[in-house]
Amino acid sequence: MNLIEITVVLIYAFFAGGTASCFRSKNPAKLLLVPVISSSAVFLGGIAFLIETRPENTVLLFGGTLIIDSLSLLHILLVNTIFLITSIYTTGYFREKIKCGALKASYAKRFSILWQTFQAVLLLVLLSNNIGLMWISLEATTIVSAFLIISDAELSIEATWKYLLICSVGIVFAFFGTMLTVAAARGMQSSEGVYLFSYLSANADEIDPRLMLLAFILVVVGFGTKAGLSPMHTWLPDAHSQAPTPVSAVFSGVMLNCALFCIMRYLPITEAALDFDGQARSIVLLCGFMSLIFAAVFIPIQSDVKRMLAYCSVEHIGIIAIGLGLGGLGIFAALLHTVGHSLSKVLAFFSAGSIADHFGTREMKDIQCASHKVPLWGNTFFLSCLVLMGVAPSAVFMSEFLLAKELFFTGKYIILAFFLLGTLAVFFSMLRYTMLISFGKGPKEQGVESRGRRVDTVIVITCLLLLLFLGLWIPAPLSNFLKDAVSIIEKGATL
Amino acid sequence: MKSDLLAWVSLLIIVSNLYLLSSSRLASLIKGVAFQGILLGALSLLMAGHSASYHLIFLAILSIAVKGILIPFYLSKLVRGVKELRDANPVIGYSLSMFIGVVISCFAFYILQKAPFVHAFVSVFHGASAISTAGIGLFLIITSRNVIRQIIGFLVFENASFIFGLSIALYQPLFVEMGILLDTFAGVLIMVIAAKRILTVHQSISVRSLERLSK
Amino acid sequence: MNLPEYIISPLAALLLSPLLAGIINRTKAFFAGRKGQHLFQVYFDLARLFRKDYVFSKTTSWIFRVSPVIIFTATLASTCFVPFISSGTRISFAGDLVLMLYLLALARFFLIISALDTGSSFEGMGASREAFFSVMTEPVIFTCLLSIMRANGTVSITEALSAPMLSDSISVLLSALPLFFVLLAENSRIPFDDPNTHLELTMIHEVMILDNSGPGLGLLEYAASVKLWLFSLILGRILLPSTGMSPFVQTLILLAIMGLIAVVIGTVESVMARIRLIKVPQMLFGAGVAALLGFFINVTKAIPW
Repeated sequence: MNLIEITVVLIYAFFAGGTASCFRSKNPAKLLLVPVISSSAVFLGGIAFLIETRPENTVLLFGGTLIIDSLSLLHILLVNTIFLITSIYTTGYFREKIKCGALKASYAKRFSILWQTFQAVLLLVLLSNNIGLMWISLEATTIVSAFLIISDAELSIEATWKYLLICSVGIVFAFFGTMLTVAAARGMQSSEGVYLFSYLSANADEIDPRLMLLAFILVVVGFGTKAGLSPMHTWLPDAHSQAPTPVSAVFSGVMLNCALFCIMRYLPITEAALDFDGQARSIVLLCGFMSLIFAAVFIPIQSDVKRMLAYCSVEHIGIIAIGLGLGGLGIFAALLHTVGHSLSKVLAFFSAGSIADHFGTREMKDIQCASHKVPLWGNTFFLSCLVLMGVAPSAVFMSEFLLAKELFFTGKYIILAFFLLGTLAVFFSMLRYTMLISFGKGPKEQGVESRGRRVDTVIVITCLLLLLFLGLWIPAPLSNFLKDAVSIIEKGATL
Repeated sequence: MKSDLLAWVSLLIIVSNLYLLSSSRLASLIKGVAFQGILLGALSLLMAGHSASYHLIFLAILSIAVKGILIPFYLSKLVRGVKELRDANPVIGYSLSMFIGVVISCFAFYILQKAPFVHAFVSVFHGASAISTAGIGLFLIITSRNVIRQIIGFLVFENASFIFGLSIALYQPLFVEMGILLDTFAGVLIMVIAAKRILTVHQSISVRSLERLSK
Repeated sequence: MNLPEYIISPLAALLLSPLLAGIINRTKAFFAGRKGQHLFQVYFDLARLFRKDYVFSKTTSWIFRVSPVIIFTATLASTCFVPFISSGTRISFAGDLVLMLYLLALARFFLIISALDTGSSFEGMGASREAFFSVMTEPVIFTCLLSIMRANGTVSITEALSAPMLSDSISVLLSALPLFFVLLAENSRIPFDDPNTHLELTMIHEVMILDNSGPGLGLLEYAASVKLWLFSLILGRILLPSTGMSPFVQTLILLAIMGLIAVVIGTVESVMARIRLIKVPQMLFGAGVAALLGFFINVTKAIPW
């Protein structure tokens, strides 16, 4: 076993150990510290991957079952970062909730165990080279995360039901797509290689093109349900608004991206099988376009802050899908957007959740002057929403600008027009909401009611600085890394 | 004769779908889905006869035991004593549902002739039963106000993936087994658990009460 | 036999149809634990009725007197188109399916108007129900028989029904189930109508012939058994196994199958109850969609093996 495989085993050992230690403990503070420890270890493991896979850039592990290439490494680093940040936030979140009695201490145990399992399975989705393993892992994330959403509140049961039903139907669609891929690759010489992404993309000319296109459509419908692509996004607003804040943050920041990652894995195979005539990409483009339109229509009429952020996620996933569908610079913009959106959305959910908990309601008209009463989260909410809206200079602005530039230069003017209109509509409505929430008409004499923890402040400032930095300058190593990932999406894992 | 029998079982599956669409009582819905599970086991056994594969026999036993007996038994226990559940209460009436079901089945036969995946299936009847079962399962999920009927729709949709998987299982059995196992156990078990929680919290399984989040 | 088919078939219907009704009655008695009527009891009943005299109500007109004859003749004429022995000379022309079904419809029409002619409200109610059921059953019969004709590539039902290889085709066999339902509906059997009920509000066919008497009633009863024979014969022809045998053996097997059908009808009558009137359209619609499916499978010729 080489060094990278040992690292993988170590990471999963940490997960197993962390989960096992949660079974016996009862103290909520200790229970919530375990995810922090395990996600820090996994974060370090991710950095180890980065160092270990240079200079080959693409490594097959465990006899081809797992793969680490630039695309999956980008996503792995993102997932690890977000899980680390959210685990740290969760310690504070639970302390507040348990103090005011909204959550029981026994919930912390269930949460810790499920949380670590969730991260473990998500990493498996990103690592797998085997189409069956990827599908199984994504199904497992649905199951684990459903239990994360559910609590005793009635509306959360409704949200969980919708989530389970829609995502399970989607996963079965993805199963159809996976099986059709196997059927399409039936004529290949190696019968074990049929399951491996690396083999499929290397020998894509032997795949039956029409069958592969059909398989890809089913895959987009299936995995797109999990990713929140329209018109299968209907579970998203409910699940995000009813789930606890850390869970919503991780859904938006990580899980949607992982589902989209699966589509990114199938895209080059389909494109190669169809001789690069762009049909597969237009399907993704269409879904992204519909997501953008849906979101732009629904955001202005929202009253619940977390629902609004959920629709904002739909919009941004749509933008990423549009970028994927464009090709070339569009994919670069999409990947950059993935990073920017995840970081800012996580911050937005943290602040929205904390503000809502402080004011006791999620209704936006009842929350005002948050930047005075809860200075850390009120200001963070405003700043992260500014980033999400695409205000310069931020990473999100840069990626949207690159996308618009690519749309213009490839001649897709209608999509460009709708893109600009949609983002403009979202900009206006979100600006109105955030101004009211953060700077509303509350009496200014009332002092600061809650300062927020120092560690949260550190996280917030780090993320915002990173977003600002990425918006101004993308250093060359990062740019090369992203370009490598782009070439993987365009041509498949090169091996 | 073997291929005839295969066609007959596939046809019976299509007819059982139509029966599910037209049932007004929940008890007959549950019995119908149990019968479908047994039909699926029979289909698997017939195809096992074709290619003498132990995987297919295992899938047949799985289907009959879990889909034919265990899950319907659990569902019927779930609805016992809940009065509002007796009526299936669909959004579209029974006759129209049945007609749409037949249109879906005819459409399945039609696209099998036109579309490229004819050779992905063992026979045309087999393929048409897979596609029509998928369509009718989705239709059941969409047009149900009763939560149990939605679960049954999902079970039917899963049966479609089982039928499809059978033809792939002839040359790649392990993956299909894993997939079907996971779908059957994990997805449905959890849906039944969710329904149980809904029962205890709401004391009702009308999806109407699940429409409060609607924007 | 050297008699043409269009004489043999009605002759067989005349001679053998009451026996079919007798088998059904005997089966029902068996289920009820009784010894039951004699197997040929229906013959004796018909003979008794023909010996009696007419009684006509003052409210009826010539339609009431003429109807039994027309009904009987039309029903018997439609049996010309269903071959009893498949090797005789037949009348067959393009569209004889339409003639056969419309002869039955003619019979039904006169049954309805003679019921209306009596001026009794019960009979009017029965007439409206009969008209309603026929709207449901006619498309189903058409679809099933068209399916059979399509499977054999002919435009004549007589040709199609005498083809030897019917039961090989799955779509044809799929038509057998809706045809059985239609048989039950058209001949006023449970679960669509109870032939043994004595409550007029629940009757459909029985109530329409309440005012007939003597030979008129005899002709109507005879027509009902000939209609039952007709439908059983169609069903029997579909289910006939297609091994090549001499016509004599084939006819014997056909008779055996028809007897079996009669036993099945008797069983269904004994184990089921009459379904509610509003469920009747649903049930017939279900039969209709099965027929539609069979027809569609046939049309797409979806059998590549």
